[in-house]
Amino acid sequence: MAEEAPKPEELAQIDYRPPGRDWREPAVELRKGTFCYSAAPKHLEYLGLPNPRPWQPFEADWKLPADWKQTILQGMKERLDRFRSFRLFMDICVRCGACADKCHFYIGSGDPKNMPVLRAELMRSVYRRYFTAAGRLLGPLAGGRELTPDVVKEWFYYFYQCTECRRCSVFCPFGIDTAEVTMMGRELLNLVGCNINWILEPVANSYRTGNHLGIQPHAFKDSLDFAVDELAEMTGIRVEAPINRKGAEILYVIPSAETFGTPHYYTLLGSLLLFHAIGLDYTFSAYASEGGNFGLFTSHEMMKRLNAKIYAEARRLGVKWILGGECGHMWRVVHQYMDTMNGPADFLEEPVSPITATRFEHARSTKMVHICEFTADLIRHQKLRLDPARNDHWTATFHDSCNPARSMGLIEEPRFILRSVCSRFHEMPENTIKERTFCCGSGSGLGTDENFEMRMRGGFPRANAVRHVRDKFGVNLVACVCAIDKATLPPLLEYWVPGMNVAGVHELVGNALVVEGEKERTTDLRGESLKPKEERAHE
Amino acid sequence: MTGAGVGSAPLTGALAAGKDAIVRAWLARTLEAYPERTARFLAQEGDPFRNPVGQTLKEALPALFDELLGAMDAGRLSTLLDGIVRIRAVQDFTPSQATAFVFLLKKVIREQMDLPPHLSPLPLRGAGEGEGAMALAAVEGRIDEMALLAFDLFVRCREQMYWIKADEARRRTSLLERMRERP
Amino acid sequence: MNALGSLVLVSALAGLGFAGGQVAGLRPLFGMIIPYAAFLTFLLGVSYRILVWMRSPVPFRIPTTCGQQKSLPWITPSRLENPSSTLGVIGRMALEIGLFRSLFRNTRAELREGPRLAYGEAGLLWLGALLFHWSFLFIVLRHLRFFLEPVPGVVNALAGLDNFFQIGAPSLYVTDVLLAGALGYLLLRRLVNPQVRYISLFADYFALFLLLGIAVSGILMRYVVRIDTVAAKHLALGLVTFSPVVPEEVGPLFFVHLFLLSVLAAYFPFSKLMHMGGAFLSPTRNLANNSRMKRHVNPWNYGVPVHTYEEWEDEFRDKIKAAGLPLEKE
Repeated sequence: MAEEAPKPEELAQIDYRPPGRDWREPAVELRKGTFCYSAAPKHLEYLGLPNPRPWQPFEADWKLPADWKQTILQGMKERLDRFRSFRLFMDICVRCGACADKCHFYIGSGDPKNMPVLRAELMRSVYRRYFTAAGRLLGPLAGGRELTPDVVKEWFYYFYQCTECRRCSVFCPFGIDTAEVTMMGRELLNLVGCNINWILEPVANSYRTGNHLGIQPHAFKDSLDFAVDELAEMTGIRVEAPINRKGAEILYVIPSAETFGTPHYYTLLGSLLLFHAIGLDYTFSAYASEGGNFGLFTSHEMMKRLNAKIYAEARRLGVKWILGGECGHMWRVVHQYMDTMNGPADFLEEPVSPITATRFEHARSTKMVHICEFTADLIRHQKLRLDPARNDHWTATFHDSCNPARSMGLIEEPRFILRSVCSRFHEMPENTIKERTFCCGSGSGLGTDENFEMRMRGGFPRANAVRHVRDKFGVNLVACVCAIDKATLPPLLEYWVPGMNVAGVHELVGNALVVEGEKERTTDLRGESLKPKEERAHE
Repeated sequence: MTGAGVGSAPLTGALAAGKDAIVRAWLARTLEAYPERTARFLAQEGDPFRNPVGQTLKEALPALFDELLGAMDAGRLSTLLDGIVRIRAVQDFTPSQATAFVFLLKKVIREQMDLPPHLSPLPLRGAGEGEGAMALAAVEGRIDEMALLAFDLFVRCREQMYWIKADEARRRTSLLERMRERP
Repeated sequence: MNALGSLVLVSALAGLGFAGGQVAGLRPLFGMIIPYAAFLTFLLGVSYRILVWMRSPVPFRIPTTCGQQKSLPWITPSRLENPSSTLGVIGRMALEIGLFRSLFRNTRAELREGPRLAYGEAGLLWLGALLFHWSFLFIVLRHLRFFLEPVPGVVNALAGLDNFFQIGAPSLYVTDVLLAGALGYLLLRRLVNPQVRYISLFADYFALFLLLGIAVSGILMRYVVRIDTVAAKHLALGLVTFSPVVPEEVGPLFFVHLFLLSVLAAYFPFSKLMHMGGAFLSPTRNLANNSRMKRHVNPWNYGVPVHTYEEWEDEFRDKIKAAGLPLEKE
């Protein structure tokens, strides 16, 4: 048709419009960069999970077990009978669409199946077909859909593309929580062996060695020793970092990333310094060396299997109560599941701060306190000497991590601490923080390399709000209380808001904390030099 | 090309006068790349935090159009195009789809200016197509420049992802590395 | 397609009701048997559905917290958005059920680039839903005057409140206008907004058209084709006193109204309309966020395999020892 050579504008003739299909056709294009790879069979074998085999999501044949369909339907029935949430959320959605634009993946990708209502409909349509009278009789007319291998693939794609952040449930008039549906979806997928390595490897490691990376006890001790050495160099103070010490008053459980990754590690330094400054009688555990719990992203059963270590270790060591570090989903498990799953913790005592004598009555049953609650109480009672000027190289904002915000309500404690330890603090816009916070886009075990593009899409709404406060207030640091955030916000922000830094709240506490007997600090806990004290005073 | 706009042909004036309509049509065309139900959301939701993708386009396209008629400042063009391309580089687009939005402007201009699609933008020697074609050639040449820049930025975003990934992997176990380095 | 199909179905049902009122032999069926059957289906169905929900336990305390938790005494907790006591939960549920608190969250946003349609859209959904539900409740209560003799003062007072403006004769009920308007908006929204159209199922349109059918037939009877209300009350009273009669005077339009209502009642338990009951049971809303204060028991909490400390120590004994960490067994 064209007489001459193709003109540039003909590039635009490429069909760039998406096909307008009905959502009920289960067709996913598994393009690399948007999904996670399968779990290695050895991890499934170690954990005793079904259908270990080598396979990959981009292959045509997923090698499902022969009775896969029956297994899934049976699994669905069991879960409908066990969880009112699941049954109710299958029944009562009116498809009003209030949730549609609340999901960070929808906002960032534009893929309609990322609207929470549709993500859940992927499951609901199967529920209707097999578990309701109308669906069994009328099928598609009643919104029912056959369960086929393509539906399983679609479930895999979209249920490992939800970070279980619960933002949609804030806006739903019935409180329908897509996280709950995703959790069930993942449990069902696990029944037929469709799981991802980025979740199951940490689970297997955690089960065996006590932590995600599979750090063995001696290496765990090496890390803590290294931290003690570095702190001594920076502050002139040699702190203690006791491990598995019986008779300590408090067991301190952290996300293990603090012992081998940055910027997590600086949070560890901050808390070590803090505990030294107040003379806390505590111990780490090498056996329960992981607060994070990727079981939450696998199944309720796996969550319980991993979580059991914390109470078991508290009992063995004879501590009075447990202190928990900065970790988002760990606190979902501790706050909403631990006591029910592995309690009662009647061998522990109601937590009391040994420094301020504050009774943490809100934790009287579970006996576990968040480090931000603990530190906020110390600051409130003026038990800490703080020099916020040591954080003057930072202009901070606070990113509420999904789980502490929406599954606990830990909102003011970290903010109180931040305002006390740094002089420059600015909030992001109201509809992107607190209960309406945007996820980092990599939570719930999706923070791996192979789905990097998907993570960048999902994290865009968060990064966009960070960019806003950077431009408006000159913010150069995002503080947070979540290990997954500390791992995944740096790459996210590097892509969207270059030059932004990420830190744990207790890193900033450690910077500001004036400890008796310390030498004059010339660096912050990252080893980056501070301006001399006199200059700081002038600003 | 600095300072001055694209020649002095009546076309430039007409383009400047028709800016609103052109940019609106350009945005609409660009949004067609998204599923229908999403396109409307992207076009209409005005909250920049609820709809960062749509807002980025709505802010960048008019500014790009100004540059097209204006100075074609490389720095500003890069910033504006980067904002859009950076998003499309992580969405489900091929490189051509991700940068096609620039070329769409040619189509939109011809439609809005009632220029026949077969009008050759090349100034044909002695063919007497006149000033209109000359001016169009200049404008479309600038759009080509923008498109090439967009393509460069797209590739840069994709490359950037590789080293960000590498950095991320290193950070995950950076302490082990540091411990090895110390005596 | 879904929309058209459900419109056709509802129209057919309305036609059936109309025909049922015309044919003398069918009048007892449409005036007595079907309403009774429908009401029975409604009662049994709704009870059954709620029973099924109740049968599934709530194993974990999973409220969605939308505000500050109760922790340290000097931090003010958000008592309604993140309740830690039963009273707080009641308050939260009252806000949810009575004012659609969560839906209202949609409307608050800042830094907008001016008044945009989307802003209005989100606010309208809340307003439309709220007006529809409250009007519907008002109208149902107002209808009690057909089923009770003497009519209680409360019902008369409600009706009086409803035609507060005293416009026209018979005077206009505000809720009639609001209900029809809200339903029309909810339907239009489903048809026009591409996001919502995409997620809408046959059942979504069916429910809307059915409700519209009931509303329109009711409005017609009151304002346009006046019917014999004494006869209608006669029939209604007969139904509730279990001495059903179908007076000659009740016209075909009344049968359309009654039949569509019967369809709604019978359809209700099998549909998404059950959200009426479900809204009260949602575990992300109706539980106090006190899971660290009070132990919550899971009735099916079964034992799971764990990796015990002893197993761990056995596996890593040499390394633990070499690192100088304490051991249980040397």
